[in-house]
Amino acid sequence: MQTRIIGNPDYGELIADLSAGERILAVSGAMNWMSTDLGMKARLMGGFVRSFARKFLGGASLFISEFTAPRDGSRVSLAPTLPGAIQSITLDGGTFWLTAGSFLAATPGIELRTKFYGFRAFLSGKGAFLIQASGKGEVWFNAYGALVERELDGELVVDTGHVCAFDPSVDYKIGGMGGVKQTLFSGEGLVLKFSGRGRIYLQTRNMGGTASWLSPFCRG
Amino acid sequence: MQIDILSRGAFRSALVRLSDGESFISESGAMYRASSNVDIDVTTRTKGKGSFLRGVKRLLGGESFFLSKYSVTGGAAGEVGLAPTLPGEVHRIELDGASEWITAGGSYLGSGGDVEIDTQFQGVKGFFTGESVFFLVARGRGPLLVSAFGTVREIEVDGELTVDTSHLVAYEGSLHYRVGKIAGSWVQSFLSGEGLAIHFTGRGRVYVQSHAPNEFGRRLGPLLPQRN
Repeated sequence: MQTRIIGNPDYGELIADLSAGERILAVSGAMNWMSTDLGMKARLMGGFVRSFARKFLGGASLFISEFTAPRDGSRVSLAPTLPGAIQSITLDGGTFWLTAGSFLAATPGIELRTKFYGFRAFLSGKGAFLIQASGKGEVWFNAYGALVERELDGELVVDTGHVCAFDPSVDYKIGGMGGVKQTLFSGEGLVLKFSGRGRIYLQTRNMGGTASWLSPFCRG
Repeated sequence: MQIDILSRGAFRSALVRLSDGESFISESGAMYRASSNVDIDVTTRTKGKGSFLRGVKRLLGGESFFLSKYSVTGGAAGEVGLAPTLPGEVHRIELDGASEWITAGGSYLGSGGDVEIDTQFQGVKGFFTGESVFFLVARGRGPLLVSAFGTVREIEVDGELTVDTSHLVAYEGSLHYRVGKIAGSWVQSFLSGEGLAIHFTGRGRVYVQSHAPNEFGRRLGPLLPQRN
């Protein structure tokens, strides 16, 4: 399999060239265009019960699409719904956490599970479920806007809705920005307080922000 | 006539330079700048007969009812700057008079005065695309400008290609197409979130956009307050 990311940082798009029998997994609805004879199957991600729970609690899609190449030279183009950057990481038996809207694609050696991340995840504005990628292979994820990578060693405060992905070696708590006054009036509201050692990926825009800017212009 | 596509990156626009006797057509509202000697006329047709009905058909095709027609007065040359609504690329297609081009779902930005723009009912196969029942057909000689949400990619089809309906920008009339399910079964197709796709066969060029305006809208819509 040969893959390349084009269009970064504004309009990231993943193009995968597959040899006969090779497969790639993608979030449902990501396909832009493809070789007509490419096979496509919808698969539940992370089991039946969990998938449905996620659908209702986390708002994320139930299914992932699996594309299978019938011959050499098959091609598929995948892109996220929101404009922004795409990045890949390689897993070698480890795990990686992705927020619901950030997963784009993965090679078949990657196992995708949805995990309940607790009440704090629910408050993070990304839904109570995160996607846990594990195994061996490559994972592609996307941001709304640009992607910022931080190599964390200590603590970092992140606005809710700006987290895309992070290593399992970092963890977060929900907190306010300073005291009650700052939390209520700084415009930041609740924030995520990350700590630990590992990578954390942030996006420079968030859809909630876009929507609340646009809202006053919505007139019936 | 000279056309420059301005700005690299995410927000492109087109600058059309017109000489005496030349004209250019665009969707209404696309002009963001013009020389003082540029005359703007509102029209419902480009060439040929029929006017009101063409406007109505354009509305059904997801485009504007009126078109703007630009020409220069006083014998001097003039400029018109055209910009699409959404952020993304603008692409120029040169019509050679031999093959026609079809633009889909709001991708039409403008065309030279000698290019005929018509709306084409796509029949029952088009009815299910979810995009638009009508496509815009461009015939004749001259430049055609299309816009995209995101980047535009030209794909040379020789054989087969499948395109998600909401990612289609334009295609050459020499291609055959059918609208159908993308996966093996309708259930699979529905569950995958892909829905319908356009399957092209034959030889010709297809332009696709990296991002889908209606998918972006569907993501944004639920976050907005309810209309009264």
